[in-house]
Amino acid sequence: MPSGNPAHSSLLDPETVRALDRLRLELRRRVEGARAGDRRSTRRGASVEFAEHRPYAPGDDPRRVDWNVFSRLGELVVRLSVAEEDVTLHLLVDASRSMAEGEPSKLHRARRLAAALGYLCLTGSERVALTVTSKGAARPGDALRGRRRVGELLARLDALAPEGEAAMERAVDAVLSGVGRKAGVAVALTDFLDEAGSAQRAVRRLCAARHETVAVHLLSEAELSPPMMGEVDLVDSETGQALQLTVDDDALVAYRARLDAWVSELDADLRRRGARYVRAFGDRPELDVLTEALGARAGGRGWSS
Amino acid sequence: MELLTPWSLAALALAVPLAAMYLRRRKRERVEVSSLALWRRVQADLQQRAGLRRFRAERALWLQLVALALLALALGGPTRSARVEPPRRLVMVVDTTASMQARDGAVTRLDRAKDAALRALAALPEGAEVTVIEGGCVPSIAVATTRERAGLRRGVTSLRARDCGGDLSRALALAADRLRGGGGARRVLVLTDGATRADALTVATPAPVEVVRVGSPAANVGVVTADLRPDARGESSPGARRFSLFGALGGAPLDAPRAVTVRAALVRDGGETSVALREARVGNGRSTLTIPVELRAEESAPLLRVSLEGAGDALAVDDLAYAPVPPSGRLAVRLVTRAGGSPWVSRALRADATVTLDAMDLARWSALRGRAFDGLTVFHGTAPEARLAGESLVFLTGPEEGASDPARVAGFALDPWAPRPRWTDVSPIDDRVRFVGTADVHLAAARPVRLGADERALVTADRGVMIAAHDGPRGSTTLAAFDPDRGDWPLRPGFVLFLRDAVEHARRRRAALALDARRAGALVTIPAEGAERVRVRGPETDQWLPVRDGRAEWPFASRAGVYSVERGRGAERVGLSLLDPVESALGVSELPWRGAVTRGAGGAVFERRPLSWALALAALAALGVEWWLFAGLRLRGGERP
Repeated sequence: MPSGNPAHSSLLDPETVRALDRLRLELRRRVEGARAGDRRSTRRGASVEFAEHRPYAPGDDPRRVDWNVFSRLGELVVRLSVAEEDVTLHLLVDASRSMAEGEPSKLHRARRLAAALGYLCLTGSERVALTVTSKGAARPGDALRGRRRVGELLARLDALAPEGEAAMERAVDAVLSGVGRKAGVAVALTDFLDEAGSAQRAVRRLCAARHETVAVHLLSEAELSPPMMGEVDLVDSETGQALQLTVDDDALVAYRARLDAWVSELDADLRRRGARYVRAFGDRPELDVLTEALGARAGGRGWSS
Repeated sequence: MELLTPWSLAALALAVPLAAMYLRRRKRERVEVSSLALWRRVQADLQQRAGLRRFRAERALWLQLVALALLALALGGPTRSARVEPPRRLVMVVDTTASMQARDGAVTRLDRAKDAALRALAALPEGAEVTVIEGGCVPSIAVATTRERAGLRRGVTSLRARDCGGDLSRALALAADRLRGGGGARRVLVLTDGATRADALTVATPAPVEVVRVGSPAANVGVVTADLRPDARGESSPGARRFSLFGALGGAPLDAPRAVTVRAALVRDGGETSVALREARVGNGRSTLTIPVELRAEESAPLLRVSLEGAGDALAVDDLAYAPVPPSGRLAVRLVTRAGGSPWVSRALRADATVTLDAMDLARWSALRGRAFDGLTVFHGTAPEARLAGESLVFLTGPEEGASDPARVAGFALDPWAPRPRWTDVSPIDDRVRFVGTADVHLAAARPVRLGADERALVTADRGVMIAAHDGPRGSTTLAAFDPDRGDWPLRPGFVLFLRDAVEHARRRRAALALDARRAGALVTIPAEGAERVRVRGPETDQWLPVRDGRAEWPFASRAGVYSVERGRGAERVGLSLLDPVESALGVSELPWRGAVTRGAGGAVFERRPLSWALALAALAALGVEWWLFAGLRLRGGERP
């Protein structure tokens, strides 16, 4: 039974929670005009907080015409205000077989990162929707809201197990046709290791749907420097396909070059499309990963401020 | 590059298990990865340099195979040729062992060696010093170091092949000794057909060794072993003896087995008596045969001549061999008496089963006296006055009717007859009176012996010496200066023991004086106790040998044949033969010579310089690289290039 106390989960221990709270305060200081508990929508609405002026266009509500400006400048402009509304954080966690790699596994690290992000949002009065992106489990979960739902989120994350092939694209389709129709923040936690490149395309779609997208790329130490030598039968953990190869120094050098090129290409592609690409390689500290992801948003339009 | 021992390349066969072990170790490992996407691209990248990668992936195997090949080559004794200067000092070793007598076309192998030696002399620069060593049975200097060409040519031309085998490494050692010291270009020139006892000529010389091979393979069959051994069946008739002649015939190289006739003949004075004839088939290698031989009593002779008939081969000296006829287990005893003789003496000798008794009178004994006799002669009632040859025992009796007592008997000086001597003392050390006691011996009379030089008392009585002995180079004589028939001594055990002691003494002397000479060229030691010198006569020799410590040393008997040895006991025959399978095998084999030089077509001489060390070091380096690349890499923490 999920507990409301995050300290009861292996994903968020008390020390991590304290670290996240400190991180939150630090981010607040870094964001000019930050206010606790509130998130400003990117949509201009009818709230009291002024956002900007724009020229009047037919169809605009005449009540929103700023007559003070008209009296001074003689131009009809409409007063726009920041719409006060919740932001939904879409956590897309890749739970395919390939995420079982590493010690601890990539899936475990993804769950901890997702838990941390979810904790920050739920305690900040925002909504969190968890979506598992492996084949067979690719359906968006309900959006959670409020500090009391932290335990439920952690329980859902705890229950994740690596299975099947990656199906990030399908999961994103489901999100965008459901709870994600309204633009929000999407964080994809995946290793991008699928031969069809579906994870990369999925992130592109999130960007296209105007979601603020963060792609956290997880790779294990063994994937960075494969600990193998000699004659090997390489077996794909998701598809079961095999490849015979003689792994020697040359092969490892070639692998490293291919890996670096692929990561650079991925980084460039996602950034070009407006996504934030964050590397969670090997044993990189999770707080570093979180800071990189959240720090970027804090300097931007503020879902995490 | 040439290999001295090419068979060592068989070590390359180890490459098969090595490769098998390597391939077995290369078991494929199943590794699960997150995705094959990157690995497929890596595979495509690697296929562009697949050949080099395959080599690099298996470079441990390649390095080990290279090391193995280098080691195998190093074991093979590789040499490379390097041109050497003409020598200022040259030592020629000319092989004169028996195989050099082999016919090679119209001439012998030795003739070809001489021609090669003369050509080498002509090619030497002016002022070069040359020593000629005869590498025969015993290496010797044929021509001392000189610059004088005419003397050298004469020395080379006068060389003759011996009838014995030899070890060229001894000649090479002598050559090395002659070259020690001094400077300038030096060289050893060996002229041989390659038949030598040395398995590997590894003598270290201070100069390069040039080997000139002479002769071509020639078919040959020869006697390489001939032994006559007593047959266990013993005598077939009184006095006759049965033997088995064990022989071995060596042949090489023969195209097909050939039939030869083996004839065994006793060597006698003035001729031979054929005693056995056997057909035998001989192939390459050694064929053994056993021929029964029966010698009748009157056919006693010390030598059996074993010859091959119908061999028709290139070497004649090994078609003949001599086998000594072993002495009979029985000792021949001649009992020389006057008419009647002593029944006691006769009975005591006949009772001895190891004795063949031949009773005769003095006239017959005199007729047989010139012939070699290695038994015991017992005189009773008659004896010459002069010292006797061989082993003899003399019992004194009274003079014949009408004759007076001689002053000397068998060389001993005697006093007049003394009545009833009483024995008082017996020599405790002489084996001729072993277990002989003095008690209860009563004799009617005796003539006490006046001991002279080299005479000793065996039994002494109150009247003087009763039994005396003389040991000389021609034999030993024991004189009992009384007639045992005129007393009760023959009734006592001591009398029988005294005769048995005399027989055993003669048997021991016969064994100690046996001549053990079989092979030509070997050093023969001739027992000659008491003699001052020994005369040896035979093929191309008639020499006197000095005797030291009871032995005469007879070296350099390098001619096969029958020799006469005189050491004061009459002439004895000794047969010397080649009996050397190495010399009889006339195939030409490669000499396992290290550091040898060869003569090129243009007359230039090339030195063979060994490469074993360089190859061994290269193999070690290959193994070191392999270790550094793999084992060392792991030790250094698995860092990769």
